[in-house]
Amino acid sequence: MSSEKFIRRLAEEQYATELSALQKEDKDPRPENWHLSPTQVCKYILGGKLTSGDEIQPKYFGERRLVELAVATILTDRALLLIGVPGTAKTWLSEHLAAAISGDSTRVVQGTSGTGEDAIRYGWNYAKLLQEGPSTDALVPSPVMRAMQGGQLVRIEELTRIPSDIQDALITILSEKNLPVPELDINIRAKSGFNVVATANDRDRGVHELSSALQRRFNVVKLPLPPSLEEELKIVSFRIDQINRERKLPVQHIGVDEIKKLITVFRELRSGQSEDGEIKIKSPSSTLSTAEAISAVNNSIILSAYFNHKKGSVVPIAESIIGAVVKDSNQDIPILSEYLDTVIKSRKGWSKIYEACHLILK
Amino acid sequence: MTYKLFGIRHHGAGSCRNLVSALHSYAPEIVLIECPADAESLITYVAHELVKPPVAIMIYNPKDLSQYAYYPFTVFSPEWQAIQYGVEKSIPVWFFDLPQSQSFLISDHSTVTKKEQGFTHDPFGQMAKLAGFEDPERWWEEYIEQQKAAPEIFDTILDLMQELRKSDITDKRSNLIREAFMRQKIRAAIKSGYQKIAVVCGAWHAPVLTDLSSPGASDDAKILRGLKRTTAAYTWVPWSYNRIARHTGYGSGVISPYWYEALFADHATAVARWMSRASAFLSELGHQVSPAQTIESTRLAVNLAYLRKKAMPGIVELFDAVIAVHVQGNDQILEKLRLRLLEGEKIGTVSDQVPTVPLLKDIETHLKKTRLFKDWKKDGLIEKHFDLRKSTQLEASRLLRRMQLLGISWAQEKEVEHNPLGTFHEYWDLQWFPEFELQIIEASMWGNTLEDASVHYITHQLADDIAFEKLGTLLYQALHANLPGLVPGISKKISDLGNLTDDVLSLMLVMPPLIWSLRYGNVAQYDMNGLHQLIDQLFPRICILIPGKTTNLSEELALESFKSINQLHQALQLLENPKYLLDWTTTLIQIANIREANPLIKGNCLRLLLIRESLDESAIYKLVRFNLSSLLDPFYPSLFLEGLLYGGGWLLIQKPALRKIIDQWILPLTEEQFITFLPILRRTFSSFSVEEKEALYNLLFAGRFVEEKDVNVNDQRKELVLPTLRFLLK
Repeated sequence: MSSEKFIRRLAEEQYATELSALQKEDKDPRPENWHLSPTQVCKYILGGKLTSGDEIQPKYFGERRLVELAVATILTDRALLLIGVPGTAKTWLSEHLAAAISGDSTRVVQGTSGTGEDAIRYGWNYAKLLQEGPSTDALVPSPVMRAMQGGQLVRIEELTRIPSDIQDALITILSEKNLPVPELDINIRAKSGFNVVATANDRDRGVHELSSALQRRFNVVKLPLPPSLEEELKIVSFRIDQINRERKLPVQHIGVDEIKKLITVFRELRSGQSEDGEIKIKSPSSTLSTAEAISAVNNSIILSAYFNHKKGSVVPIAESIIGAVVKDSNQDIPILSEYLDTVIKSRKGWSKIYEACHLILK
Repeated sequence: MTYKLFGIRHHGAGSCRNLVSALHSYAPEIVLIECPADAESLITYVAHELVKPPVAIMIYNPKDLSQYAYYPFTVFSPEWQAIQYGVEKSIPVWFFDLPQSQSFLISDHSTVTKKEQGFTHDPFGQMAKLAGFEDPERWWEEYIEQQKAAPEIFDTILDLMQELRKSDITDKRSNLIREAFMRQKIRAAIKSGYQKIAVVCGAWHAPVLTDLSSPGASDDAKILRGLKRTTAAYTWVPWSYNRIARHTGYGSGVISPYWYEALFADHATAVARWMSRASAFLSELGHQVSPAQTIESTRLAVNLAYLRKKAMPGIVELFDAVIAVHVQGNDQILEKLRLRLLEGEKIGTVSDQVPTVPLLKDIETHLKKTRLFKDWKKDGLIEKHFDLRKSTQLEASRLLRRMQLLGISWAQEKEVEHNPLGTFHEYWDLQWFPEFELQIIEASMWGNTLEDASVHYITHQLADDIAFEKLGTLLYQALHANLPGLVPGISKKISDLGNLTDDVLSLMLVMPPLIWSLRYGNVAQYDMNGLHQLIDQLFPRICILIPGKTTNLSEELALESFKSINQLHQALQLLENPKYLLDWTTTLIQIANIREANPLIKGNCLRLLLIRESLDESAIYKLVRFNLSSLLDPFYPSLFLEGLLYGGGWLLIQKPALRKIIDQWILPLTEEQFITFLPILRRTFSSFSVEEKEALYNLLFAGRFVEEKDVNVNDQRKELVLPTLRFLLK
């Protein structure tokens, strides 16, 4: 299958070689329907060296213990819930977990307030239903049902956005690994290897809080924001490199120093204090996670590559910062200008960025 | 004759299990344990079951209390189990480490904590690193402590240590001396004719004890010759699990007493038992934990261990599993759990038949008399309420205060606002820590009874440097502790220092307790003349100094002065001395009129003036309006309001004029201004009680929305209440 034409390749496509190499050297026992042993799954996600000496790229940069906790959870047949503020690589991690464990990351339910029961249980092909009456042919399986039948992982994105009564459809599936279809008087029973990996946003946890019955069936792993500037810089630079290579973007004009400044701005606005912890800063309405930082850097690379900015110009980076921070112009512009004036202006080596931002804001 | 070395780690649960089974199969005639030889007499208390772990041997120099050492034991300490074995089999148990009376003089530091240094030596670390461990503790944990029972492991440990010590070039002089002493003791045991000798010592020492011929007895004697000796006293003290956890540095995530206890009790079910305990703790904290969840977290921990290639879950895996299954990202629960589950709260007991210093005895007698003994050495926070009209409870309160005076901070009195009518009730928080035992022993240099010791200690303190602002409270405490003999001395010190200081804040801190003391002293019929004079002397100085100290204050300083002004104000109301009250009012007016005075303090002064009904309110209201008018700096009026309305909304309820001023101030604010003020306004208004808010609401809107209804009264029923009402109002 040639995936060249698609904008984005699936994790299992992109890392097909890594996955097969890991499989080849895998000596540990593999749970049924798992494509890799748990140890190799961890290696795939955290990166490492193969016995052949080839490098496995790290997919997740956070603490090792969190990934181990996630994998061990799936191993116990308990469902996994990844929570964290936006941009802490929840979806990213769940996609790679599915790719590594089931070799397939496409069983996904995107949770929205409009997600219905048919997305979790099953729906009907009404034309067939009318014509033939209820039959297995007229049944439209949900991704969850397909995953049960195939012994795979199914991912549920933004679980807490799904209305509570719909969420609860998961209870039987998780506790009994069984999905009854009363219309046909049959049971779809999950094969080994089936499990649910859900993600939920920490910030709007209150939207549709999980019922305690459902909550008990999940193990929760909380993904943190990168603890330090260096850590975050590492993640951003790594991803930028990767994206550049994938998309074959023109050579980058943005230096590490600029990226560092952008991340510093993001971190300070996000945490509400300067990196040295001495100045209190107001936080804007926008989410300024690592993921946003990556796309902002990316954005400025594209700006500088296609729109003829001089080499070394900080205008693209300033544009990207403002684009990311200012989501609500009434609220965010004063916050950003205050930040620029109180924190950035007096900082050594930041005058260019300060001026560029100031100019655009005016 | 044979002797066998058992190299262990102190508090190693695995070592301990191995040791117990190895001792049973070796069946020695005598057990030698690495503990200071001079503390050997303490073993009899173990034999008579007068101590229950966790406990520690405490050795101190009665003549120099800066010299002391603790040797803690838990039920999973190999040394403890070795003693138990000896007791059980009725065979001799010797302590064979260098006597503490000598080590006090050898070690460079006067404090000797548990001897863990063996493991920080480099060769060990090097080996751990080669095995892929950050530190040797973890290596040892993984390969020795967490493994299933294997009594034969001691030979392997000996081999390993032999290799490691060979490559170790540095050794402390104290170690060499101690080891020479240990060899001498082994020789003595052999000489006494014991055929099978078990030697239990830290693994690091084991290799140098194998060969008794080189160095020989005479070499060792040479090392030990001429060692100086000091006095030492010995006793058992209760110890606690969280001290064990801290002392051995669970920072590396290794030692968790509860986990070790579970491991020691039964290796096979340790994980499940620890997890059940975790669930029980969570339930106590108010979380519903089902058995199903306990099973899940146990399984998760086992799986994690598998992923991390460990033979069984360690404390890290257990904790991770609890977090994922039970805690669901709630950091507050996590913190509580960490304390309770990692460290644990168990405290050992030492029977009162174990000898100790007279002061401790005296305190314990008093504790028993006042029925506080059951709370002594109890873990966790205990709340107490005393009714001082009852003589036992009065004595209890005095006892606690005397202990406070001695610096033993077992009890803290809860701050209750000083009721102007006086109160017979006291509320205390008690929290016990093992170090109190030591503090009491330290304090015993001041006297053999609590009364003597506290009087001498305070007298000594007075002669020494003591912070002026603490003196007021000290005097108050002394009176309440029924030590009136101390009052003249403290008064003199206050007078001496008070005349010198210009620090009005500390003067204000000293004053209220003096006033309380005066009242209390009068009631208790002590001679209070001196105190009267003291107040007469200090109070005018406060009135003169304070107006100058209300400008250009930092936020903290302003808050502090604010508090002390209020406290002094309240205390003065107690005194009911019209001259003082007049002076004080004049001072408050003076402050309120200083333009640059801190707004919080200014608002507060105006409030205090408003409460005194006799004053001209219109002048006060003018000042209120003036201070609110600054809209440029939102902090000024809001701080001012905070001071003005401190303590609740009743002032607003009582004073319609004030209400109107505030109303007139808020209404014309633009939306933008209002939003800037809102958070700080909220801070002030949210401190009002529900009743106050309701009353305010009714007052503000009564005329506008709510029509007065005719009250319908049932005459017959009204008649019934009237007699009682009349009686009450008489």
